[in-house]
Amino acid sequence: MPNYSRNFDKPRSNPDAHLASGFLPARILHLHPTRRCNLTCSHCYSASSPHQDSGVNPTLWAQVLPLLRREGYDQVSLSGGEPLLYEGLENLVSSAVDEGFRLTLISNGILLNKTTSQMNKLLKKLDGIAISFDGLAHRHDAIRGRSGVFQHACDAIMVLLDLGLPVAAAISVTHDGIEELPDLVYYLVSLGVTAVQIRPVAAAGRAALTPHSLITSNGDQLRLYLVVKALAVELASRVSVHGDLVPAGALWNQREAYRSLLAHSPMTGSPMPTLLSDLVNPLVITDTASMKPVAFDMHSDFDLGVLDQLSSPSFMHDYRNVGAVKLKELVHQALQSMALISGVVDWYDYLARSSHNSFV
Amino acid sequence: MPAVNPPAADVSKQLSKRLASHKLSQTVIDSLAKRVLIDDLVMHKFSPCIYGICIDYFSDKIPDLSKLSGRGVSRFEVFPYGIIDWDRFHVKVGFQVDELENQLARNAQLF
Repeated sequence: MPNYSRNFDKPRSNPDAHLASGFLPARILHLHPTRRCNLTCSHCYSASSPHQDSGVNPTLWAQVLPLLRREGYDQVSLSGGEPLLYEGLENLVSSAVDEGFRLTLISNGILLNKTTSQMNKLLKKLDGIAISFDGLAHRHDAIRGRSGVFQHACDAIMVLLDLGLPVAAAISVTHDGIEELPDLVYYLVSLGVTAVQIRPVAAAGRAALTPHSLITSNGDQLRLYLVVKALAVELASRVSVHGDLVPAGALWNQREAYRSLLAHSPMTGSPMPTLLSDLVNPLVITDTASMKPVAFDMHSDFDLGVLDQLSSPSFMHDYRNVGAVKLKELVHQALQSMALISGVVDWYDYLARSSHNSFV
Repeated sequence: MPAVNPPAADVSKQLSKRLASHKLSQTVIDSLAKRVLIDDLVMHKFSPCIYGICIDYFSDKIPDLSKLSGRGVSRFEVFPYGIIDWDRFHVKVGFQVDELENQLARNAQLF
């Protein structure tokens, strides 16, 4: 799971702050190697389904992951689609482990109910696994369009715990799902998850086309923020609870986390960041091998290109002179707006929405 | 397989459950959020207490206490971390929250 838990509880005197690139605690490659999935969730931001193509050519990873490691990325976060359906998963995991990436994966848990020794071996190479949830049984199964999948997800937690692997829960919260969130979190903690990540459903992908009962309003997000804060305190002795929503003012106050990007100036060349991860974090790689900054649903005008282009000597030069400048302007404007907004924001979703608005 | 909810833990008395309940109107939530989200102060802990809700904030600059006025603050304390962390301040604030008073008074006894 992408660890989007920004460490806003630590002040800027954090000695590691100079290593930050944006609001993330690591430099993350968020990979969607396939959008093939055994479910068709009504809120899926990547519009994944069983009918999608197989995804990125598995042989590519051994070529591109070393290049991206040299660009400063240190964590690979695998999602999809259902990443366990990706035919090149072994290649991908092996290449990532060889390059020293920290490796996490988010799954709906269905395939984890019948693990083989080969899959167990692969799972043990991961540094973290998160099982995704959308609510208690009735809501979860309804959103995912198949009965019984809540139970499969819970069973998957038990399977992983039996293997001795730490398991997190990644919860997407809809407008209608806020009320049952505490019951869900307490139940998952009773099963043994070690961390809980909570995010509001974004109006992206399939969710943008579905009823408003899925999308959280600004008011819902305030409520969700307070609920997550309360859960974090109530469960502090047992698990870590993180939410993706952050007060806009806190983002504004910590804007210097983007100083590499904001200082980027191809005209003067100084101060010139040397790494792609100084400018783009997270870097999203889609099932069509496209590289996108920030989020899967960023406007395509912000795309960096495709993986094949990474090895080209001119790639970084071209991106610094055109793409990074465009991204800098977007982030700059979004940060400025944080000073004016009261309330809470899902920062990465805000950037993604802004990327589309800038072309309206 | 039919959708069956798991046996719920007894969380009915928890603050999280009360905040999540739509029985607590959006107006109350908006009003509460408006009071507890304070520029320059990063919320760390959020829990019921004898004042209503007590919040521990951190700040990396000397807190501007004028920002606390008009927010129903019953008590605040500021701890400079000093030599341990020269630019860190811990601000503890007790907010009077009339809307939750009855519920929280009961909860406070549990903490």
